[in-house]
Amino acid sequence: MMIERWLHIWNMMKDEWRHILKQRTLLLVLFGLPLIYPLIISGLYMHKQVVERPAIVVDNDNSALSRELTVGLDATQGIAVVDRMFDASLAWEKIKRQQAEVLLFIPENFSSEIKKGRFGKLKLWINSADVLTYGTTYPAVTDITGYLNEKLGEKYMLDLGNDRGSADRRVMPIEMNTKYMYHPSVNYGDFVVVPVLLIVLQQIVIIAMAFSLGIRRENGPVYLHPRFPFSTIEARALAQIFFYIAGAVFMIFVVMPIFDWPTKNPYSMLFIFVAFIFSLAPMAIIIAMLMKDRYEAFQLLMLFSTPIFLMSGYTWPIERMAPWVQAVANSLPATPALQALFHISNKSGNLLEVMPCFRHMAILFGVYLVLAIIIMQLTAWKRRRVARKEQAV
Amino acid sequence: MRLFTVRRFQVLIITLFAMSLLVMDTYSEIVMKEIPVAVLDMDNSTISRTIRHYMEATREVSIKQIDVFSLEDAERLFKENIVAAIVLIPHDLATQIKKGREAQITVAIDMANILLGKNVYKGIKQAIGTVSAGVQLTYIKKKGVKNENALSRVVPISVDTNFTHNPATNYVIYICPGILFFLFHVFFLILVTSTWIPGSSEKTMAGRAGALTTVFIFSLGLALIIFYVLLDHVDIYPQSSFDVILPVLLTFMVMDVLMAMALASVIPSKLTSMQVTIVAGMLSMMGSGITWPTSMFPYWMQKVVDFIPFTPFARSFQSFLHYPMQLNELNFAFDLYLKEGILFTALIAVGLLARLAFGKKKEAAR
Repeated sequence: MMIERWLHIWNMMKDEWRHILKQRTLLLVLFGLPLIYPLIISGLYMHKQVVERPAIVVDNDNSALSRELTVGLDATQGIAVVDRMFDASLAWEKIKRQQAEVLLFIPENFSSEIKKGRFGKLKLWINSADVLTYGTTYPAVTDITGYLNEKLGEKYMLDLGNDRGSADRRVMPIEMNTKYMYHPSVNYGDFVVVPVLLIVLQQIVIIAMAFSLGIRRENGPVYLHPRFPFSTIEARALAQIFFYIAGAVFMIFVVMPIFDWPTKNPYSMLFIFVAFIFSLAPMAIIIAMLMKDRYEAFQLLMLFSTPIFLMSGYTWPIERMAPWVQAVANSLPATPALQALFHISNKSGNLLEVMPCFRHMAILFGVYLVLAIIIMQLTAWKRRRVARKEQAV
Repeated sequence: MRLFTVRRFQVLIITLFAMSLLVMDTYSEIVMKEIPVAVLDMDNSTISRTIRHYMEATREVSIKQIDVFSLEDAERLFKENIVAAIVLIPHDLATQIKKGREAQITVAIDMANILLGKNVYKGIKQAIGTVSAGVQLTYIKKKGVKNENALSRVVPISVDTNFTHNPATNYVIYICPGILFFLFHVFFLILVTSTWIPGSSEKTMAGRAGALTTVFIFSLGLALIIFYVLLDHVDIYPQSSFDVILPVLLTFMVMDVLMAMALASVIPSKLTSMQVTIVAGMLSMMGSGITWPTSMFPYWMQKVVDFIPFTPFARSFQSFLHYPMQLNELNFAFDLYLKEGILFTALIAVGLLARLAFGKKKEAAR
């Protein structure tokens, strides 16, 4: 019986390969998507960091200090002063029309007030609708104003009779020595592209499987072996796995080195991708069985990828989500896979440190496998019943 | 087009709402707050305790009572994601300050997750900066500077900051409208292409036009539900009036239809054109500039994403949702729509001409 089953699997695998070569749309999913998507996504993020966000300075003071402030602002990595204007309302219009993200207003008495020992009050408008660009522009402004405050403070300390060394130490006396662990460059591109590639792979696995069965279903009911109904579909998934792995290899060993995405240990990363493919396969089979045709598969699955990525906990910690979202997230293989990938691509290349994630994937694999077998057996049983009824009639 | 009776469309509509709710509840905490931090206070002086209190008082930091005895301990805490930062206050912090020497606090931040890392850095920096300014303030007061003049001597430049469009720098305001309309965009493209792909399309031209009109009206209603019901669920109320929102939305949807028609007319296979249209829709989120500014893209990609209708739409709703805008202030979006309209119409014309030409050749061959 075992030999018969394996023979059936082998025959079905060969049939699936022939099917893939014949179907152009399926070929496009299996070869086109892994080729195009990673390259486009990598291209979008190839600059890795958000820099030089457009800012407008309205300088009504035009003093040495205000010019130093403007030049300093322009010299930061986060901001590029695109315009210097004298009318704040005109500058605000430009902010509204998205020609700039920051507006710094320097009042005419800015420098003289400071000289008189009063506050020099700046007004700052930052478009914080985009948290990513705000996270770049705001620190740039606080850095430069902080620097000027220290410089002015030091000058005042000298006036109070301190020597230069002492004046320096008396201004902002507590220094913060910051060490960025694991990701010292704080590159957003490095952070976000690698997990997106895994989500692309997930889409390929689910869509290709659903496409394959969808095309067959368009020509009648999908063939299921009367004794090994699950093995029929299992064989098709096994036949496709070679293509998925090829896609993963292309992403890790071609795309990532070309764009310099972080791979602490590419082999560990490949292991995670392969484990993910296997843990996802039973779920892909279930989804494929539920799709009526290839159109339905393609259309429906497109709505899932972004939410799955967002709720995986990669960017927003999973424990900070609503409980029901956590439950949904934990029922998807992408969540532990992305957590493992997060650790491997950022913290350590050691697979032993992500064993809990593999356990999680294994449990999901088991659960979805049992479900898939039950669905397949039920389908086969229904077909047998219909056949018996037809015979009786 | 049987939107409410055909299973495929029923599932699509349910999925759209389910995914929208899921995204909204993913960010239910709204801002990054109370990120766990371990503080190793070897000084335990008034100043070091003040720093701890100030850190705890920030929105971002929550101090955890965890002992860190060695570098290995620190590494373990980071690897197991127990803390996002470790602050080391040296035993001589207060003494050094009193002697007028440089005092240094070492802060190690887990930057593996940029979002957590940047937020925790902001909180810690704010707390240390405030205490540091306080120490400086005390010193100059001792030097005889009057109370009322002292602060302006320590922090002479004060910045009055207005976070426009998103005052609380709230993640929901940042991400939810983008994702919800991205899902709507993909959904709308799916429905539009469904009006001509085999299996779901009507037989006659008039039937198809009717189906397209139904899809358009139904989707317009859905988009308005997103604007006025779903976004309300996450406390986002459109700041611009309906007569601003409606024209932008209508133009966006018309451009989406034109884009799908243009691709269908130049790509011979209906299925392939549907795939290309939806793949373009899938890339529209990243291409729109919501998750990554378009000016950071390679130049040719900046030009390509300008021709996906979601890009000008995303740019405009980032403004009109959060700030009362007038229609003429959204010209930056309409300029792009105009370019898109010209390109898509030209492509449709080329496709029709090609079909006519090939059709005549086929007829002649027959």
